[in-house]
Amino acid sequence: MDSSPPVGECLDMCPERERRERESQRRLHPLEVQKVQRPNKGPRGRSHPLADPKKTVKEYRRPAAGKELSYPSELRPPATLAKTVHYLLMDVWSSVNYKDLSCLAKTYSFVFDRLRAVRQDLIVQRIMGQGGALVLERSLGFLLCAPYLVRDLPLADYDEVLHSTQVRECFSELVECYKDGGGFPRQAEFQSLLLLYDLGNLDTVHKGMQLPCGVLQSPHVRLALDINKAHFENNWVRLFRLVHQLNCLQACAIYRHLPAARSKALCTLIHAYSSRNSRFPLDLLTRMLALDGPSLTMDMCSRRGQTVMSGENPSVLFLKTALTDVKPESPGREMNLVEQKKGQASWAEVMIGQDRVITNEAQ
Amino acid sequence: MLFLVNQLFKIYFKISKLHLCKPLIRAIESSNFKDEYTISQRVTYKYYVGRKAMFDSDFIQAEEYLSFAFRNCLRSCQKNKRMILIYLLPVKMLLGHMPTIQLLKKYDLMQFAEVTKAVREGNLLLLTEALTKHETFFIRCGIFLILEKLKIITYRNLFKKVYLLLRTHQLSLDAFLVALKFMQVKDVDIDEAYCIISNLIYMGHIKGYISHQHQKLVVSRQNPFPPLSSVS
Repeated sequence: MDSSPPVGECLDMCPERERRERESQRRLHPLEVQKVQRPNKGPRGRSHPLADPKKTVKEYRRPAAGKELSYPSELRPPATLAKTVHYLLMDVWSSVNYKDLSCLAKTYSFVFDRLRAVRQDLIVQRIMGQGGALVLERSLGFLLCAPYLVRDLPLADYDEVLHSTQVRECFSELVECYKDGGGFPRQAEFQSLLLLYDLGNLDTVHKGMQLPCGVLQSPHVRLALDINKAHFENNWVRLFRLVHQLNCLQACAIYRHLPAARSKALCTLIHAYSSRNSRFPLDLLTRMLALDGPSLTMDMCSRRGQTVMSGENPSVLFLKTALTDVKPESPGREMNLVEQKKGQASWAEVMIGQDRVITNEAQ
Repeated sequence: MLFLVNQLFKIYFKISKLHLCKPLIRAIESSNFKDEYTISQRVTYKYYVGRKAMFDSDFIQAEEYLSFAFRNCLRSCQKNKRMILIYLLPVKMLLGHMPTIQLLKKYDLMQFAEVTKAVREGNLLLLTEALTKHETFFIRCGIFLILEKLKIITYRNLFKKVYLLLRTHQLSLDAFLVALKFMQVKDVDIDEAYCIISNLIYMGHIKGYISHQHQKLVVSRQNPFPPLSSVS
């Protein structure tokens, strides 16, 4: 049963056989074709786009019965996988235009799919240790930032559930890598990202508290655990205050929990301050909910049937009898909690962890 | 069959894959013979399902199942009774029932003694200390986070003391902040005090409302702090 795993020999991002096959089947992604197309007559006299070997990346194929996944010539060794991830983030993703939704959708689905194929190569070859961790960490960088960047795409282009499945699998493979032991420079950082991504999950927190001492005592993990504790206690004032301290990647990891946390907080306030003779200042509410501006706060209040009083000092009249049951807002832009943290870095640099490298060098 | 299910539970708890228990629980709960298995097997079953309910924050069910297990476990099985208590105690405490010192002594569970005292007195400082002191034990049993939840009840008891001291129905919010600071709650400020009081009102631990203009908590004239057992 225990045969040794195959060792990859393919030094290109895409095995040659797959490149030819997809070229002739016209299954190349727009991001994989040559810019200048020479007329190329196919067997039926029609021309088809030519693959650019520098841009073609092995695509994800569902494992199925009878399909051989372990030809060494089709598997990429760790160094090639690392190069592939680097290409996908630093070349492909960094040239995306966020304002053009169709370009964003195209690039997202390309990077998402190709990173999945990278992980498949890792698993087939059973690559663990530092080589595996590096590839998984950078993939997670993308998987954690992407939900923030593609939040406006329609469901057909970005499916949150499918995406989170990949995040979960990626995390569990990474945690397996860490179990191998040895030095992992970014272990504490990624354990904290897992705690933030899984905010409120008892099992994750329980495992987090049993991490090796060095990781547990790191500022990253302690902050993430404190945020979870604040969340358990329902202390959202402390929760948002601590979220302000997170770096950009960490803020992206917790991003998906923000609307529900705010909604719960507002609902609690409406119950506690419910009185006809009393007003709650809008600017205080905006600050407590860590929202970017008072107009967002007003929207949240009116959606829940609460009356906003405009004037010199706008305020809200909280009445629990008027409270309407609504779903939390869909995730939106977060200037203060997310984007500001990015500073001068590009998104691709945040994903790959470049800011960390820079700060380390500066020290 | 219940024997097999129990063995599987044991494995799932060991490898902490609790979600795998769900189909087994469904199978047993919908079976017509569920009350006809031997009592020893039923005790084990209720113990595991009670523990799972606790992790899912379903404390009412957890109390029911773990109490059944505790009551029906043979008196001679001290060790098993102790194991049940480790989970039953936090659940009972969350629902407002504090254990006696005699019970804790009998089952060698004195780790809970200070926690109980702290919650009863509303002494947040002591609670934090007690949790830190026995952290390894509580984490190993998987109840540390459940015990953290006792903070909410401790806040309630602390604030009730503030109310009893001030003897008025309009309580200044600053008084609560003073109390929290006295308990050395880390970096606490007035916003956090609003938040903690709001939560207690929302959960039904305090009957009343906050007036922001007057910076006062106005509590009900009757029964402003309802007994814990009446608040679910």
